[in-house]
Amino acid sequence: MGDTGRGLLGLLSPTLLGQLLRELPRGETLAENVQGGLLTPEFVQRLRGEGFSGYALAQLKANLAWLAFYKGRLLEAWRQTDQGSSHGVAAYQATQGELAGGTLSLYRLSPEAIPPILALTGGILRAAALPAGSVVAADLFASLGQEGFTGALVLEDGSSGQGWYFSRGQVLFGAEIPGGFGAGRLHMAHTSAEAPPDLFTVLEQQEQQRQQERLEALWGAAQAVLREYMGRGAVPALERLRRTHTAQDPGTLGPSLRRWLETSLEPNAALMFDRLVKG
Amino acid sequence: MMPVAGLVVTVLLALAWLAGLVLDNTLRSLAEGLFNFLGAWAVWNIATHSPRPMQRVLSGLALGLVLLGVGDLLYTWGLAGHDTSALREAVYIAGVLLFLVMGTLLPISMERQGLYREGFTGRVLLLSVLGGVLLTALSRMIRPLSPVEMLYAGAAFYLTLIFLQQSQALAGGRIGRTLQGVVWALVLGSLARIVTVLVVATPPTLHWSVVVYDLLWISAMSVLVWSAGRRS
Repeated sequence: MGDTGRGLLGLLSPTLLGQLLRELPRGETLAENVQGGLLTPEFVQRLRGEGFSGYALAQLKANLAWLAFYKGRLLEAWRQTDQGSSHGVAAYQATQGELAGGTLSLYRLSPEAIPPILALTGGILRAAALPAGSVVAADLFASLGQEGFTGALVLEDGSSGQGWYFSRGQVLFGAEIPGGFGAGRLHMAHTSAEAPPDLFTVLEQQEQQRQQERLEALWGAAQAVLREYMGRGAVPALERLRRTHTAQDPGTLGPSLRRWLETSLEPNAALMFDRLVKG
Repeated sequence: MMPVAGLVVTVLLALAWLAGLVLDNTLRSLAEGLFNFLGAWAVWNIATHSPRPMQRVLSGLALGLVLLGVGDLLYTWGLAGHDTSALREAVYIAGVLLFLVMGTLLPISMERQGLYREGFTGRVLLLSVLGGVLLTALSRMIRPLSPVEMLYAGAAFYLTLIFLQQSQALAGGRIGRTLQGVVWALVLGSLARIVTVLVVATPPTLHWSVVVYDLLWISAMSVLVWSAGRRS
């Protein structure tokens, strides 16, 4: 995640964070409580293509999942789990895996509204657990306005809480400046100057790397089989094999290498290949 | 099971050959002839456990050995007073030609299958032809050879060189180990040819060169049996 922090993840309970995310303004509602299966890869591609900004809330049985989009990029995923919460790529993958059995809501926000919200889970901690009673709300809002603060301010009061979001000092979503904070603790995180990486890109890179590793594993197994059968002659045989088998997709390359070993050498060579590929 | 059976048959045939050497030339010749079938059976066994491109070739070599065995049996029959020379020669030539074709096909089919670097087979065959011609010419300098004898000697040298080069290129692998057994058998067989070139045997009198030829040929077949046993 580069220099981006963990925002208020370490301070707020998953339940409270879930409540804050649920209470985010709805902007323009694109879908509400529809079948989770709606978020197909094709639909995600459409969101990317049209530069969607906003967020998705998914209800997966008892747990909530939240996806934040900024100009078509998926910048954050957060998910409640039975044990706590997870975020980032892991949260997105887990959410994708369970979406079919859940419901999904999709809300469009203006792009400027997204970075302050991202501070909740990916911002840099500015202040933690300030006794709210000792802070004068008007003064705090004025000073944040003056410095052009971009980020999130959260008042945690027991199991409930309230959030305010600032973009360049402006309070977003028409939230009113409270007369006073009363009891509770205040947490603040500002949005990192460096945008978090697009989780789609991260996933694609991970997928590419996994494919590369699988391709290397296949070629390694083929090389080992050839060495077993061809000894010194394995090197030129492997060179020719690489020239004739150029598939970059492990799902295609694996069976075609196996077939080649079976017909060019013998069935046992293919079995040896299977064993090596399985590791 | 296979190695034990092969070993037992080898020992029995060797004993029969020894008995024939001492007691009866026909028995000696018969035992030597039967060794060819033992060798053919061994090569067939190697073929069934070999990679696909080698199976057809080794099966062909096994068939070639069967033909040589038939030729040797006809020779044995000839020792008993029948005239078999014309048929015998034809059978021998057919066996040797089969050897030549199959030996040549081995690197070709291996390269076509993608197991050898392109051009490797061309080099192997060229060197084997040159080597075979050279060695046959050298043999001819020792003693004038009839065209048929030249074919036998040339084929033995040519095949030995083909298999030798391939077993070198495949050293350290299963195929190389299989080929090595065949190479040793071919080397011994070639030496046997050299012995017959060096001395003209005059049957039915038993000449020492016949004993040496038999010993080399029996060793060649035994190496094949040993190779087959090692594989299974």
